[in-house]
Amino acid sequence: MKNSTLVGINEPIAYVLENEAEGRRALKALESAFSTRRERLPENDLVYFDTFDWRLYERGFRLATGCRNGAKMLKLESPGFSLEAPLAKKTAPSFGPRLPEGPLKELLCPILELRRLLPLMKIAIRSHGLRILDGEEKTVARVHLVHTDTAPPGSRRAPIPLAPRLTLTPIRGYADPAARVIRHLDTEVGLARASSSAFDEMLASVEQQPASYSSKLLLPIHRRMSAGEAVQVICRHLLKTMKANEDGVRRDLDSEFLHDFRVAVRRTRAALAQLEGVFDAEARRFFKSEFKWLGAITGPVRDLDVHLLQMEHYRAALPLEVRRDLEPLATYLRQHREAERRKLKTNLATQRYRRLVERWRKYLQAPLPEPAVSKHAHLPVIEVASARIWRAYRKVEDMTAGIDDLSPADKLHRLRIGCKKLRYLLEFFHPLYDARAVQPLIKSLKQLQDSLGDFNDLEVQQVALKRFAREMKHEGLASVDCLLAMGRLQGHHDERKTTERQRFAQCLGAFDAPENKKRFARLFDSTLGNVG
Amino acid sequence: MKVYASYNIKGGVGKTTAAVNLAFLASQQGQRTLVWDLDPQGAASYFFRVKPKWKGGAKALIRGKRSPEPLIRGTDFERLDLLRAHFGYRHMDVVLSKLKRPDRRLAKVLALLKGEYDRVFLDCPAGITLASESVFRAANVLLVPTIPTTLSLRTLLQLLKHLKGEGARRLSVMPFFSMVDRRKSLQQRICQQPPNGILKSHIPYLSAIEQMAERRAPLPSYAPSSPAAEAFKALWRELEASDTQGVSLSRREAEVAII
Ligand SMILES: Nc1ncnc2c1ncn2[C@@H]1O[C@H](COP(=O)(O)OP(=O)(O)OP(=O)(O)O)[C@@H](O)[C@H]1O
Ligand SMILES: [Mg+2]
Repeated sequence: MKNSTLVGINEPIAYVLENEAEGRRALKALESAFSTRRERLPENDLVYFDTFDWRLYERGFRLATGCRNGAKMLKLESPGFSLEAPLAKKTAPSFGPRLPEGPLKELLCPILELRRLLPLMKIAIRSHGLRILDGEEKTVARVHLVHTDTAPPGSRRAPIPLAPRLTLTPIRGYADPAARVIRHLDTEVGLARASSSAFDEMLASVEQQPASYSSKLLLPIHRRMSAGEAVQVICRHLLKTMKANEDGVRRDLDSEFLHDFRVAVRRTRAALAQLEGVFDAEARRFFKSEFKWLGAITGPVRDLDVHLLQMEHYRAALPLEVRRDLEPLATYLRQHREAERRKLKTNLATQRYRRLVERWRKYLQAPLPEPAVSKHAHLPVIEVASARIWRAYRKVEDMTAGIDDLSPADKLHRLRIGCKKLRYLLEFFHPLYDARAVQPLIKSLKQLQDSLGDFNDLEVQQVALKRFAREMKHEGLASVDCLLAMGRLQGHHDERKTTERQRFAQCLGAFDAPENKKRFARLFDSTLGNVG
Repeated sequence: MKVYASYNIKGGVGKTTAAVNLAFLASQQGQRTLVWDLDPQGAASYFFRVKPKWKGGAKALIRGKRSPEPLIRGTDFERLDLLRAHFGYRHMDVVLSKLKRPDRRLAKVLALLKGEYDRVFLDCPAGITLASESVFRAANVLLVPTIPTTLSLRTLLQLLKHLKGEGARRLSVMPFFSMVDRRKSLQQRICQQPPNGILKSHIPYLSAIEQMAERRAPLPSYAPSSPAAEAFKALWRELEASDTQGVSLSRREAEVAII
């Protein structure tokens, strides 16, 4: 029988061994059954990389740095496919745009986006074994006894040895001999196939949990919970997200850490503000003001990040010959970001921050407050959720009534805030409802929000650019050319605001469609008797 | 995917030797590399210890009716595969002559492998045939190992004239001196100052290279720092560094004609 699963995929078949001796016995057995030649491969030291949110792992990619013939290499692998790029000595991969030019970079850039590659673990592989030969003494398969040591990145601790493995690497076009070797190892030698991949085993040994972080809200809440329980689950998840990103924010690894951190803070604030009845009133007052503070101290760095990320668009919006004129703006942004980042780091090291996190954690683990102090905590979550969503929706509906693409900016701004509140509630509670019914609602809301958001971003950017210009002048950073270029940028923003308004009108139409209104009412309006 | 063809009108000049060794060096640098043994005699396949295929499928492959996949064998070296020789290739011209646009056929087969390999080396049989026309069309770089003798240079000139007539503008022609005899002063002189149209690196005549047939493996794989391996490495470096356009055919022709 042909073992067709072997063909093409050059992933080794692996057996887990009790000990070295078992591997040696297996090699001996193969030597007497096949024509073979011994070989020993040079020791291989690798460092594996991935983003904080496991973007490579989730796509089945593995990225490592290592050496070949004395030259540093970056190697990307997935089953049946590999890409390499030379890497300058003493450099480690970081952001997509900084990778060495070539197909590897082209493939990775859109996957990594803004995320930095971080070292996962160090690996040392030693292996020796056999080549299985045919009548021409051509190698048709390789069988190796592999020893792997792992270590967390940057640690000085002694490496952790994994159980040795016997691997069989098939060679393209030689499926039959490989199958014969496998049969021999399975039946004659009686080895046990490895159940997990060597890579997963390596990760486990350094206590890395693949896919342990995602910026998505995946909340285990259900209809049988009380509102208080569900909100505790939601807020605990958000706190976990904050804590997970804290280190990356402190070390300023990439801009997404702070972004995710702030989203979790905002969502927490939304829960505190909109689900007033499920919290103990006094505790709520404290946490509301403290999370507001947390939002405020993390804001400046994020705002500057946004502008720095926008720089490329700013440049692209201007004619070629004046693009360089914007350089002082980039310098200004970088300098201020650095100053703000230091302030943020200090703030995160304060007693105030530590106390907030500690008290919040305790509060979320404590028994629910008495009905006397929080009248909603003990109600079924679905009742509270539907009532709140319905209330938020009705407010948005009222605001959309008198609005069109000519309405003043502050009206659009208020609508945007209303939409945001509705969105947070839907995101918290959507697991309680039929996904097919809620998803279209979230989608139409999201589109409306995006168009409002884009309009608002332009507005906010214009205000900020004006402020920057003044400060740059004050700091002696502003050349006349730069100020002129920034002025052109303002004009460009005006034009884009007009197009955004038109797109907004379309999205509003979709959101306001009678069909959509009926859906909202059917799901959330308790007077229709559909709740509980 | 960059396609190199090792080609000369003349036989026994070091075409196969160059294709095998350069392909190995490319794969060592991390390029996913394929050698396509187009010679029905299967010399390249022999070097990699792979038997040529005797029967069945050559016609369908050339006509583009069949994937080359089943003919591909992994060599003993990482990232280096072989599209093994087929005895049926000795009728290649007969098959091609019956097809529309015969000159595009090899390129079409190679297109099926796009994305799988970074470098492809075609080891071509000698002679100007329909098959070689198809090679000129499929390749990006035409490697022409040339023995530094008057007669060989005349043949090279003929080839350049022919290619110009064909309007093979996309093709970058890279002749280099091969099997250079150190004891012959004329050859030495020519190689010390090669005319502009010819690569600076050359491959000397060395018994170590001759012995490759016994070892049946690319020379740098078992003697990586031998003078012979160094000669191929220097040639590969020069090839990788030279821009694909190269010198225009007519200039190259003029310069070769001077010697
Ligand atoms: N630089 C060299 N020094 C010594 N011997 C060489 C050298 N190059 C090739 N040879 C030997 O010369 C013979 C022909 O070489 P090769 O097979 O590479 O040439 P070819 O052009 O491919 O021949 P053919 O036209 O038959 O395909 C072989 O025996 C080879 O070992
Ligand atoms: Mg040959």
